[in-house]
Parts: sequence; structure tokens; C-alpha cells
Amino acid sequence: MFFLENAEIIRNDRVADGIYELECSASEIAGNGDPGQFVHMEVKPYSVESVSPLLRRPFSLYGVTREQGTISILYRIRGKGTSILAQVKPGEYLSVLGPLGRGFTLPAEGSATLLVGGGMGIAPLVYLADRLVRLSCDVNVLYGAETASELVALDKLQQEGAKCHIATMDGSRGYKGLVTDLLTCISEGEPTRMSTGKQACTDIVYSCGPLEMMAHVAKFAKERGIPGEVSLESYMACGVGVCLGCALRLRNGDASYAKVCSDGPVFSMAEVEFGAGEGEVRQ
Amino acid sequence: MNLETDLGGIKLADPVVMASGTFGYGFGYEGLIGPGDVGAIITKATTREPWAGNPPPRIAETPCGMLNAIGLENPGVEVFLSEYLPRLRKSGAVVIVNIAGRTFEEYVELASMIGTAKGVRGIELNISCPNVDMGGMQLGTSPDMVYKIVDSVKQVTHLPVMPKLSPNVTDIVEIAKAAESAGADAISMINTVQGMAVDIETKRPILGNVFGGLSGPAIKPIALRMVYQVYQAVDVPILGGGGIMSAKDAIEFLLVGAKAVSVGTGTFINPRLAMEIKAGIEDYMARHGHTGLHEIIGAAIL
Repeated sequence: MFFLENAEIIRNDRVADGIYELECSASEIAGNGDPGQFVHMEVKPYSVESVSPLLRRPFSLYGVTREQGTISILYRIRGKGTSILAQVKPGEYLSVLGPLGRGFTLPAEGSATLLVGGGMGIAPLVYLADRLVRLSCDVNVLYGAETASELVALDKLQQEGAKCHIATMDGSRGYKGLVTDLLTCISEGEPTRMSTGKQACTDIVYSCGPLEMMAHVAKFAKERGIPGEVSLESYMACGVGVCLGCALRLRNGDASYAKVCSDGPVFSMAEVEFGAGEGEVRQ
Repeated sequence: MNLETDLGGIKLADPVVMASGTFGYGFGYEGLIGPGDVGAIITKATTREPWAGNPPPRIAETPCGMLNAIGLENPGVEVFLSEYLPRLRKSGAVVIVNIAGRTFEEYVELASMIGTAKGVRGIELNISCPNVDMGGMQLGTSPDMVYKIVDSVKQVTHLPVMPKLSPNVTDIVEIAKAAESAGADAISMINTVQGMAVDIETKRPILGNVFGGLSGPAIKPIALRMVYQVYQAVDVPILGGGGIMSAKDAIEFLLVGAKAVSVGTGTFINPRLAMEIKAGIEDYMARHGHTGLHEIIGAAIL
């Protein structure tokens, strides 16, 4: 079940260079949206009669406050759509369709969970971490970014009660290098309870970010027999599964294409073969 | 006020039709708009066997439009008849089935299978998809081929047959005349305009299929011009569309001769667009003192 809401913008703040957090009132979506689901929104205010840019843009739910009926998204200016979205002011209205897609599978209460996010890929994991903490899960987040100032979700994750382990490419905060290098530390027993040696204590792994990163996380999980899920992205037109535009071949040799909007955006790591081949889930 | 119209024997309570490929099998936007809320729905193209469609990327946004190269992905006619049609039939919607094939024989076989199924009111012949190697547009760009395919299909079904024409031709009027002389009951126009997009960073075409079909407001002037021309050349009714985003756009198509209008890409932006267009046409007619659609259809022809 999804809704079409004319959402009032509460804030649309620049939280780092080129990165914005937008919060809006969308009570039906807030009341029904689960972690890993997304909203498909117009990037220009409702009052602006324009056909450019034409299509809606998909964004994962970053935060949901059910009591207040608000949702938030996190985005980086990447093209025309996001640069127009960055101009939207509080008090203006955007048309938001959602919640859409298949979200993350939640584990049993008290599970040990590992979340690995890179860049804007942290967005769906922040809402997921919130839900996991409420499920009394042990939530460890490996969070990677280019530089310390782009760790825009860190405070929110810590407030939620997640244990965060940081990697930045320039070493300005935490480990210097790829966030996936932290996986090795974990498997060697470092941030404790996660795993010791080859024996996994993690019940489930979730990841979202660059494909190379997710491929590495998926390999790590598979080698240790840990189930996991990834959130993928694609250009989309309808967002609801009717246009078949967001096709992705999950595994080499698959006869049919998955649709990111309706079969995903969250897929089991076991369903996805990273780097499968041309036009597929490649690195 | 009377919004009833007729597409060559397909009676519609209102003139707004959901275009093939943009509304699935009628239930993708459940809760916001359903198949019974519109004049008619034209289902996603159905082929004899399942088609996998084209490799991604399949879509690209362009100025005031979008390119798609889906490649007619669909589960095949048997799945359509057993899984999708029964639910549509129950909804009471006016269902027009879009069929596509690689050969004449496939169209004929599909038409006869669809023709005997309960709950179908008409067949739209997809002879204009620009994104498949064989069939599709290749069959719709020559008057002789259009004649042959419409004639062959008409012989195996009693349902109204409506070929969907491609704008990617030198003279759409001669194609429309060939369709009419072969017995087409109505004409649907236009399909997408063939185009492409390039990524200058990777120095490659964006679409996996290289070429795609352009839809959206960018093509509306082309579609209007073509409906205007074809309306004057044939007597069969026209289902007109291409870039309709508002009631105003839809009324423009009616004024140049369309007896009904199809809404496609616009649904992706505003899922309730078709219902808003119906209300907007009513407002327009009230404002101009019209009581029936026939008073405005073709009124802008000079």
C-alpha cells in the first residue's frame, strides 16, 4: 500500500558540501514506511508548473518520525534533479509517492547485526539502525566516507544507539582507507562480539553504498555463512513496477531481469552476483 | 454533460485511456487509480512467448521527456490470459489488449487467442515499438506491411482492431490510409519517437539498446500535428496521445480530431492524471457551454 502526499517541507538543510537533508510532513508514508523502502518524489515544488525535470526521483527513507508524521531523505547534488531539489524552501510543498519497494528483512529481537554503508548509501541504514535498536539488537555500523565532514549521519546513528566504526579515504577521521578494510578487523575479533576468527557472531549483515563496497561485503558474508541484504539503485520512471525501466540482471545467466523498484530495492546478498556482466550488477 | 465516446465499436464512458506499457495490467497504482477509474486501459504489450526485454539501462531522462528501451518485456500471452485478464475482467474495466510479435503469424495467432478470451473489448496492434529487432516498428513503417497485418488480423477476430502507428515515418497519412483500407476499426497514435542519449564521460550511448523511444511533453507538438493530418485523411476514429500532462493537453488532441486520448508517461509523474484530465475536460466543456464531446472533436481543424 502506498500513498501520494503533498508534503510540506520542514527543512532542507545543507549538511556538508553538496549534501542535503530534507525533512517533510507525509503522515501516511511516515506511518507505513519501513527501513529500506523508498519514496519517489517530485523535485520541484507543487506550485511550479513545469515539465522539467520530468520524472520523479527515488530516495531511500533516511529517517521516519511516526509520532510527528514526518520523513527525511539524505541526498547529494548529482545532477539537474538534485540541484533543483536543493533550492526547495521550508513551507513549500513537494509531491511524494511512497512508501515503495521491498525493504530490509528485520531479524529476531536481540540479534547481532552489522551494517556497512558508504557515502549516501548510509541513508537507508540509518533508518534501519533505528528500528534494529528498538528490536534490542546489537547494532554495529561500519561507516565510510571520503572525508570527515561527509560523515553526516554519524550523530544520528550514535543517538539511535548504534556502535559506529569509521573509515575515511583521507584519514581525517577513523581508519584511513576503505570501509571494507574494517571487516577484516572485525573478523579478527576487533570491535568485539561481532566475530572472532572465522566464527561468525553476526546474525545478519546489511549494506548499501558503492557496488564495489557491497560486492566486498557480500563476499565477506558469504565466506562466513552470514545472511545479508543489500540495497541497490537504478534510474526509475514509475517507481511502482509498471514501466519495467529499472531492470537489473541479478545473476549471470538469469533469463529475466529484476525490477529495482518493486522486486527491490533491497535484495538478499544470495540473490545478487556482483560484477556479473554487461548491463548487470557490475562493479 | 456527456463524455461518452466510441473507438470503432469500443464504447467508452469517458475519453481518457491508459496507454500501453505505462499502466501494466491495471493494478500497479492500486489505491490511487484503478482500471475502472478511466475510460479504458490498454494493457502492456503481450507476445506469444515470454520476452525478457532489453539490457539496462532502459530509461534516460531528456529535456521535457524520457527515452525508454524496455524491449516489450512481458510474460507471454498464456500468463496474461490466466493471471492478469481474469482480475481485469472482474474490475469491469474496458480492456484493450496490445499485442506484438516478430512475424505476421504471431500477430494472427495472438489476435485469435485474445479474440476468444472473455472480457476483452478491443485489440491494439503494436506495429510501432522502436525497441525490438523484428516486428514492432519494422512492420509499421511500410503501408503494404500495415495493410497486410491489419487485414490478416481482421480475418481472425470480431473484436475492434486498432493499429498503433509509429511517428518514425516519412508520411503517416499513407500509413493510416493503408490501415483504414485493410479494415482497421480505429487508429491509435502516436508511439514514441526514436532517439538516443549519450554519456560524455563514458563516451557511450546511455541506453543498453543504444536507441530508445522518446515520450513525454517533448513529443506533443509532433503528435498533435500528426493527429491533425490523419483526422482529415481517414474516417475511422483516432485515439490520440503523445506527451499529455494535463487536461489542456488532452483537449488539444480532441480539438485536432482525436475521439479519445491516451495518457502514458504523464502517469509516472502524476498517477492520478487520467482522472484529473477527465474532470478538467468536464470543466472546460461546462465553461464553453458544450454538452457532448462531438462538439469539440476536430473543432480546431481549419
